Amino acid sequence: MKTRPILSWALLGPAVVGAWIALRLTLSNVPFTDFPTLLLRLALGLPLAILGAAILTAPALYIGSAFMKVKARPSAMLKQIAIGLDGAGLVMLGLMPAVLFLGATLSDPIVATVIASAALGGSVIFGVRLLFGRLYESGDDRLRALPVYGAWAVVSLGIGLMMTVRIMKGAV
Amino acid sequence: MSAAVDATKVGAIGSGALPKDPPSSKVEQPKASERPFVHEPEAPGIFGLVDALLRNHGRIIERIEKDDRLAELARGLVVIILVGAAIFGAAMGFYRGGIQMLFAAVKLPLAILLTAALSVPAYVAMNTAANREARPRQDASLVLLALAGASLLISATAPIIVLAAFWGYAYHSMILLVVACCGVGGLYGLAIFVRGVARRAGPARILIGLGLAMVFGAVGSQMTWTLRPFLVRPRTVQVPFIRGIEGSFMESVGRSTDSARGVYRRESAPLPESAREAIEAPISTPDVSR
Repeated sequence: MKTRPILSWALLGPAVVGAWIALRLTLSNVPFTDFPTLLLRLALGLPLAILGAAILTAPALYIGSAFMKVKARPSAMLKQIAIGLDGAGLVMLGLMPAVLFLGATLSDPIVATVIASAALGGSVIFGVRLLFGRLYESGDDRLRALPVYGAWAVVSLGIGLMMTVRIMKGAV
Repeated sequence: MSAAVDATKVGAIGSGALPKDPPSSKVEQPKASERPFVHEPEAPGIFGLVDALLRNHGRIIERIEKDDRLAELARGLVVIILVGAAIFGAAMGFYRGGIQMLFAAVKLPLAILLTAALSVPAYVAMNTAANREARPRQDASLVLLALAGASLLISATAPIIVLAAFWGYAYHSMILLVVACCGVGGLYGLAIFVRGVARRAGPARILIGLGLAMVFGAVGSQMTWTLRPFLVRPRTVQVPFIRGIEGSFMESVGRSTDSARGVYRRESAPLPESAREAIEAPISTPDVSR
């Protein structure tokens, strides 16, 4: 983990999921000539959507935590968010064998896309859960930060979801 | 107690005489159920592993945590899964008989091991992300241990399936019986897995366990669907090794639910060619005009 550049899994995980969705859609009902465009859209769009949502909402998390008198330094917080995103990317990569199998054996490409999207969403939620434990170590901090973190999680996941839906809508 | 005293006692019992009162210095032995299994020596080989898996899987979990000869352990567990699941598969195939016994005996272990192969990377990734330390050998061994426990238990329920087949159980009742037997095995496997997860320190253990259960459930159900048939409908004329890719496990569950509610999506169940010909042939009526 130490020799790897930071955020590499965070970018690779969603990119692989996006590439798989592009391939699965092409194999079923999309003309093959559209594959490069679809691949670029999904393999680049999904990592950027997740990263974008995190960058957009990270300052709000710091402000909210500081407002609730929770010990948090901006640099440490950014580092932990990056680690959380990396963890989510790693989980996406770990889920890929299962997603590939399910997608390849299901006849409906839309169901296969939904499963890949569920893996993407589940991994991000897992990353958000891990981030909470890492950001706030003491029980007192956790209790005070919970409302702020909960609200931040809902908003940032919502932004990420909206961005992902827009990218997917154009593809599907 | 000395060897001489033991010999006298054995001789007295052997000659039919009752032994005298035991000496007051005799140490009280604990009952078999109270004895801790942890200190008992493990029988060597695969049978020792089977015994430990059934009696004291905590010791195997300890061994996994210590990273003690895991390659050897994994080999043993895979053998147990292969044999245990093959026995249950053969019992399921017995309902139809013939080549289906072999087919199901090959396919069931394959379904379990392939599901594990596809699900373990997700479990390893979740653990690595949570603990920031990769322990793929331990994670894979724990999943194999749980599956071996489940396979052992379902193999013990195989005679029930065979008896039901002899009894002439209806196809749908047989399915329910198979599900119940697999449920028993699955619960035991789950108990082993939960115990293993509980021993490991680290955050989000419950979430990771649930995550694996979801992935395993989704992949396992689709894998068994892909490798079907295991129990073959009585109407089926020729038994295929596997059927072509069509629909999914969830679609099948939806269709079965509709059928149970009396909503059918087709006119009738497909019939074998010979039966269809017999039905469609014109019925010859005796000429009564003479």
